[in-house]
Amino acid sequence: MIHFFRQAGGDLFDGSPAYLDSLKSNFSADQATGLIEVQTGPQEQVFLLFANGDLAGAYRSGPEACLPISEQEASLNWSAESAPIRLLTLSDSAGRAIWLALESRPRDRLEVRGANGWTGFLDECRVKQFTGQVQALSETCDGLVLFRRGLPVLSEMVFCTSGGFESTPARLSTCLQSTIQLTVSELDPARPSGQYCKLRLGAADWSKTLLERYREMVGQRLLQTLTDDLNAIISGWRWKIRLNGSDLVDRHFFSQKELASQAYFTIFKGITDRMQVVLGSLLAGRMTRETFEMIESPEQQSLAALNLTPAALAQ
Amino acid sequence: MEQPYFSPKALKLPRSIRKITLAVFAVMLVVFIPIYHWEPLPERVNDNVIYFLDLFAALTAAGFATLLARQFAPGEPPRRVWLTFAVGWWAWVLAEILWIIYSFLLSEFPDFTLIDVCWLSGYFSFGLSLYYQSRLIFGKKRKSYLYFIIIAFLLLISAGLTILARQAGLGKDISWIAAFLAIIYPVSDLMQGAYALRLSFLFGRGQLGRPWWGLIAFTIADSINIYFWMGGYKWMPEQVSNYIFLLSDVCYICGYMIAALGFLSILLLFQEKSAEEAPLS
Repeated sequence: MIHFFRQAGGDLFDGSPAYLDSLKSNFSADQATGLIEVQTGPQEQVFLLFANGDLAGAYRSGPEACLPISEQEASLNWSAESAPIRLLTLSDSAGRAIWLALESRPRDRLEVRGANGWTGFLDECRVKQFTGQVQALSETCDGLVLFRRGLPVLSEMVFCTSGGFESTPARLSTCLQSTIQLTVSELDPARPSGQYCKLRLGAADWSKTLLERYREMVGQRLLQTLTDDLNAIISGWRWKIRLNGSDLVDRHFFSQKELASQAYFTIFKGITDRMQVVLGSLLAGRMTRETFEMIESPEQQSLAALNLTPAALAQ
Repeated sequence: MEQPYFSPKALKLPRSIRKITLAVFAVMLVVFIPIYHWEPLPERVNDNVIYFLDLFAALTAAGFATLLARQFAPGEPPRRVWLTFAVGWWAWVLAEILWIIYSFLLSEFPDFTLIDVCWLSGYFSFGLSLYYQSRLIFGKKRKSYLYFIIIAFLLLISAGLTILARQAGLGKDISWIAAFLAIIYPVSDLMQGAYALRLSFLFGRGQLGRPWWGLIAFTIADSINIYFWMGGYKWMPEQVSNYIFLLSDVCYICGYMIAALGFLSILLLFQEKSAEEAPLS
């Protein structure tokens, strides 16, 4: 059975499909991010994942990987009148990580012991240039870590201890005292969570290179003016996204990649418009194009697929 | 790489600084043009009014340039651009001051004076500033010695042109060094003006390109001067040449004013920031 972030506990109930509907309504009303796990059979589970009140996806556990199902199917598949339900409220980062886990394909399962074992595993990932997600389960800590071209992506790292959710890598070492069960999964590029993940990473990469280049041209203080200005606009949209220096700190969970791309478009448009005031449209456009070309190909393609391109921003 | 947030002192300019500066410059031009063209005052007074107006314009440009350079932390790439630019303006301020002092003390200037040292230092700094700016834009890791190669090339061109000019009978009544200076100023102006023009096309309407427009105005002023030095005034009526001389000197003072307003427009971008200071977390 799959239980995400066991240490987080969550609220446990026995409930009917009607009760499940009321739980779903609560998520929508509260615009909350979280997961509902329903044990619909002895070896079968249904998962409903919410992103800020919107249903991101419904899944049924399968022999190898979870299968996407419709929202209606989630209520229909119950074999009993009442089933154990676990309700877990999540941070947006944790929600995104679970979405990736639900939609990725497990490739390998292995066990490592202690910090040395974990370090060895990291080395192996680096050598193999592994891209995918790793679910780590230990007695004290459950974690989901995204790897990109062999390196863990810090912004996509979530783990949970009895003390709560953590995303600080330094705290991870405290969780590595015992044996760790690892599930190594490949991201499915055809699934929304994989596409959204690439889009998210692409936007972060582009913003980083673009704003670094801008800082090089105009200095720290004018960069700060730009980011302060944009952060004020972003907070008006209620996205959990923030520009910190040249970093796009994205802690928002959009239920669809299209919604995310709209948010990123607004942010990049804001950046380029402000750059134009200082540098002029020709230079700002040139920097936008040059930095876009510097993004790695998969991320660049995911941005282009949703019309997040220098040409679109220039219109 | 993350750089520390740097604030030497929050920039606090009066809200109406742009309007005040524009008004002062407009008044200066209203005074400058008739005094230059019609010379209504005694010659000495007339000249001094013009010199002091030039000096005031130069001081404003240098002051704003310095203020702008101070907005960057040591080590930040744009600091080098604006610091060298500011040094150039201060060199020219010194040249304007020395001009006034020399004109008080001497009826005729020597061929080579401290004023020339200041003008040439100014050109050197402006060129260096343009070089740094270009390096920032194109992101090429050129070494600074390349700039000295460009300077050597400029000196060679000017020396060659001086020889050619003297062979053609130009500047025979002045010394070689005076003729060389008469050539190197417009050549420097043209080179800097051409590159400043290129930068201003690149920056378009961007605020960062505006101070460079001042160098373009100086190029126009000096191009007219070299044309007349080569005898261009002979092919036009005196009335027309007087107006073109006026245009040249108006371009000259406007060069300072345009640069000053350009610096100010960038400073006002910092001013917007200073109104709601927020530390980098």
